[in-house]
Amino acid sequence: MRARRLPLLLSLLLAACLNCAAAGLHWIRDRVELAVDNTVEVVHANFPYRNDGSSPVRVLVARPSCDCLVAGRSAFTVAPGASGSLEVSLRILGQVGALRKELWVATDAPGDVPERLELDVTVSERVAVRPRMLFWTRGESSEPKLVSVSVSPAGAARLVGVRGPASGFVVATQPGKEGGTWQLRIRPSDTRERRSAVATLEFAGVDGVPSHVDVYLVVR
Amino acid sequence: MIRGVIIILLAAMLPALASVALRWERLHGAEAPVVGITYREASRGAVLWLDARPAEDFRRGHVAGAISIADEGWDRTLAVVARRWTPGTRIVVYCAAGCDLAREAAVRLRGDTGLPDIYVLEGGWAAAAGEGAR
Repeated sequence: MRARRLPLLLSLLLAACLNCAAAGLHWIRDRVELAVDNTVEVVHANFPYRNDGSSPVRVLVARPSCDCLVAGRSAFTVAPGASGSLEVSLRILGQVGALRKELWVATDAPGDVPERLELDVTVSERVAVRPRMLFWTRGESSEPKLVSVSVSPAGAARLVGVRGPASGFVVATQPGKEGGTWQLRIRPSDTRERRSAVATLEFAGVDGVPSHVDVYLVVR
Repeated sequence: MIRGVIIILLAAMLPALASVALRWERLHGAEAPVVGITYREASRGAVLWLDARPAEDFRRGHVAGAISIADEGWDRTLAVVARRWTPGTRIVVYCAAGCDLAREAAVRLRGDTGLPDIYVLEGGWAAAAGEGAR
């Protein structure tokens, strides 16, 4: 009786072991959501994982299709029972709104299928200064040019002053028609010579709002 | 006869004039897309190269004289553009082929500076490297 049960027991044991090996890597989080201001240039996110199997798992991270998303590691091995996290960095270059980026990872566990990791970032623009550079060509009329400033929401911060520029440029600031907006009228004293300067807009407000934004002034 | 020749010449110029008008609108329209440029065409005159790739890729190889946006950060990149730009200089942004980052950087740069002649390199770094750009 015992001898007849032995193959069955061995089969069950073997099946259990195969399942253990195939359990492999488990992504505890495969989707991360973040909200940032667009003054942040690089966003970091972590995707935690755990190896639920009884064998080491080799993880391969596919290169993202966008250069803006970089994984901290391209390949690594996770011991049985071990856990960790994969860090990714996303570079934001001025986009505002909802961004979704994806990263595919695969393992060498038998029967495993590639997994998609998703990073959702909502980028807001609390302080908008446009443009950040004013230029005049030599000999051009030294008419003032405008810089528009807006803060969203309106009460988040206020423009408290403009530091600089050094002599050679004149800056006049006035509040805009809507709350949380300002206009700067900037002109060079003359455009006979090449010159450049920086006007630093200083803001006071709640946490997270940049304290200053530079505007570059150029006569070339 | 001469009148006929003039008419033919004017007719031949029409497509070119239309192309210029369209390009003008694309460059200076409020929501105009950023125009692509080849490495050879960009290299014909004064050019300021901006590299939008990750810093490690930049260090492995880049167009001579290019600025790494990742290394500098956006504010310092603007400061460098303000220091190095002169009238007539083309600003060309590139990243890896098929990547959107160069276009996004070019759009942002245009909004931040109002400068004309901002382009995206067609074919990205691969195209530049193929032309011996290192």
